[in-house]
Amino acid sequence: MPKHYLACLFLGGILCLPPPLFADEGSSWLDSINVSGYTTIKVKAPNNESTAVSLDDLSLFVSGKFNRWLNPFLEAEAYDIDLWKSGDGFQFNNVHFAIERLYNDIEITESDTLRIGKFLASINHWNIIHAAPLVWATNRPTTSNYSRANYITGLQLRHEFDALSGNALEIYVQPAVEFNHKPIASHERQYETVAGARWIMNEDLDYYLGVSFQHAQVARSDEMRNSIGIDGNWQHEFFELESEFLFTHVDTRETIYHGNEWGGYVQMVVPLPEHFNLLTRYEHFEFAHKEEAANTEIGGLVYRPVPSVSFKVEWQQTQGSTFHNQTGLYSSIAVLF
Amino acid sequence: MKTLFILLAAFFFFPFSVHADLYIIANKDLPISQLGKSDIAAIYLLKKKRWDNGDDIMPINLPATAEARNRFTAQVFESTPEKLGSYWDKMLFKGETPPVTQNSEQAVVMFVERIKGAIGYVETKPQSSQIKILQQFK
Repeated sequence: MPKHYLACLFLGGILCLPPPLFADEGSSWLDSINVSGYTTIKVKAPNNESTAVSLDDLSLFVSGKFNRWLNPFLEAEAYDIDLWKSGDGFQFNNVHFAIERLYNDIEITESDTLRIGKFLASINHWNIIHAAPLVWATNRPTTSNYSRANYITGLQLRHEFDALSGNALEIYVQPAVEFNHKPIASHERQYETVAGARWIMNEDLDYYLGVSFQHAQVARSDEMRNSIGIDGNWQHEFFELESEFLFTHVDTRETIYHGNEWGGYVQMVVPLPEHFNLLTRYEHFEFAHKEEAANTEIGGLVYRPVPSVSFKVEWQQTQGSTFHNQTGLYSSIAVLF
Repeated sequence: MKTLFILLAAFFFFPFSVHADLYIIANKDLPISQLGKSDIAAIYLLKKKRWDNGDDIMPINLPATAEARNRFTAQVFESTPEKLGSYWDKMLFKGETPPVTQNSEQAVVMFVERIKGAIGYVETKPQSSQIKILQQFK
């Protein structure tokens, strides 16, 4: 079924099935629908490619909170829209659409939630909160999104051990292929059956810490991946420290692979006066199918006048494999609305 | 001379600025009489979503520039409005609805009077018979 029809069906369902809401008789069921989104304009000037300006993301999300059983969520996005390229000039002829998330949450108890549909895989905090206005860097670390399935079409059960500290366990399963997946490049993989879990030990205003596991079968291949990862973030008054480490065992008969893939990064952000922030990051990543590992350093400035708006400029220096992280200057403007 | 002495004594013995108390308020029909600091935090972190009787909880906020919001964030979370605002933005991306912002304390009181599940914070003690005070911070 085309994705546009699904989106219309979703919105139609919300509009035509309005359950009663608050005790107040004057309030409307529309009060339970929340519409928001974010947009990112990205400028990239890698050493080996043309300078380009693109509308990296124009994302709209609609959520409804009706009752314990009906809490739908839709995120539709237009992405990678080239606006200008050196040599080619202005352009607007390459628009991609995708349904990023489409699910319903059922609150079984106050501590247990069942999610059904397409959602972000609970592999780390960066994947769950990846919107450009909410992260510090224009370029995402390879550790945070490579090597594992980032989206799940299936079921997820979340149990909260303690609401205040955020101590919770999330277990998910994808029985078949991902719904409405984005086109993949030659070095990326599409996943078939996926199962995984993440134990969030703490997630509050000051720090989060999580451990995750994922088992994934790559589509149209004998390749199986088992990954374990740990990620955390600590917000101190004078700095913010973030890190993630990942190890993946790759099981396949393909001879170009050498068994394991691993990597990690450490990122630090230091607040400066007038809403400016200094960003630094170091990442090392060893690919299972390549001889050469990648070492990436990032240094940059982020201007964030309010939490929902950010202007970023960063220099990325990569040694080794440049397949994912090319050396160059990157900048972006991102707004959450 | 006596007046001058009293003024000088007041200047030295009293703090330069005296904060009003901070009141956590809810609709009088809500079947609870008190709310602990950790419950208030859980509600404003969008982690506690329902009252014990099953009604939806609707936390109400004041604008980012309001002094009461500064005090509320410091009292309940020992944090800053910016940090809490950033947290709510992340929750919005996760599909959770952040607290509804009302422009003034009077608007917060009117909202709580009208909506049974609402909870808010104000510095001026509400006089309305439709409101109950669940917690008071000095």
